Amino acid sequence: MSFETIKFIEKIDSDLRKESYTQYYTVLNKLCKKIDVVKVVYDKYEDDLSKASSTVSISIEVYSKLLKILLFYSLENSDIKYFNSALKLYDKVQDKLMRIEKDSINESIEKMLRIIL
Amino acid sequence: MKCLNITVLYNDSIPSKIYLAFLYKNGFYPRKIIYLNFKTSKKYNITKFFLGKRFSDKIRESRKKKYLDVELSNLLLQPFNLKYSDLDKDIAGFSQEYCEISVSSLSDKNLIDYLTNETNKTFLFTGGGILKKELLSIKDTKFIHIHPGVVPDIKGSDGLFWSYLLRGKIGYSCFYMNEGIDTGDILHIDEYKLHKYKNTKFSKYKKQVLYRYLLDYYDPCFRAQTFVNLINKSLTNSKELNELSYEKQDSTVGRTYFLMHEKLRDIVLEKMIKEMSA
Repeated sequence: MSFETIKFIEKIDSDLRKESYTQYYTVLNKLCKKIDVVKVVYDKYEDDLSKASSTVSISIEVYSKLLKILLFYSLENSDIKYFNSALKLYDKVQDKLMRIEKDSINESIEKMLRIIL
Repeated sequence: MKCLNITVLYNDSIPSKIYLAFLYKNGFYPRKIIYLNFKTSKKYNITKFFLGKRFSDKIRESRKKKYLDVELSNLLLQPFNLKYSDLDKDIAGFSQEYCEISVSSLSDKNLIDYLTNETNKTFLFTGGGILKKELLSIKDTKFIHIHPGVVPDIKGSDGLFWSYLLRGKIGYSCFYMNEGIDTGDILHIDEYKLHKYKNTKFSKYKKQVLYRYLLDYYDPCFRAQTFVNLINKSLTNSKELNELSYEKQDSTVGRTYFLMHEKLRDIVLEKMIKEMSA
């Protein structure tokens, strides 16, 4: 059995509510570590996410979904750690995002920065 | 002056020097200092080959000092009764016994062999990084580390800034190191308010510079202060540093933070400067 990143991100994306924060907390924290430390998120990991079991990174579309998920929970649940990872993820993918996506992400980032200030 | 039954693992860094200078200022000195001389760059080795160690070290030191802002370092050291010149002293003079070991990393066999044969089994780890199993499993040996952040809530990197952002003050945890990241058994925890500086314009410094200096000078002083508080606790309880009671840490509790993104860091620095300049 291995952890399938894309399936997991799709699942949260379809269940994006303030209340689902605790349900995905542990796994999202582990994905944050991949963003913060490894700087790449692979499409498959061992069950406990300790090691990648693939060398294929997730696509830009999936990265973008992950970024939106992190920003959503940052704002809804005041999670600054998620926000920190989201900022790093944005640096990584922003050049490849559509203008319209960027605008909405920038808006969320600015909103969160204002809250922290 | 009181001699502490501890061996300091020293590396050539400002934080390491601050530990020793602060202990000294507070009337303590370690029984022994082991200078971990990390193998140096090719460039340094070539200079050393042609000019000798003493001259090469001088060149290296003067290069470091070229970019040093003594005014800012003194400003950050001042609340702890320290000056930059206190850090410039001969390290060997801070202890009864001193030795130097050449190592390539913290898992170097040389270091493991040396520590295995040490009679004093309690070490203060003044550097950064994770200690490997081979080192941690040396019989009866304990490594004390002071981490910026109240564990288990705040583990990992940039603890000074995460602590301030999340708790409004800066926290320090003293623990016996284990294989995890800041998950060791807790000996002591302190939280501090930032110092207030009158008529000081921190805003004249670039954020990147302030970040570096807070980490290099201000943060190590709090670490050393926390260690002194632990020593005083051990003296009050008439116990050695390796006999103190500790609290087991559940590694699954709390959170590990990573380096702060520049945007977030700038906001935190802004807030800190505002409080320190009040």
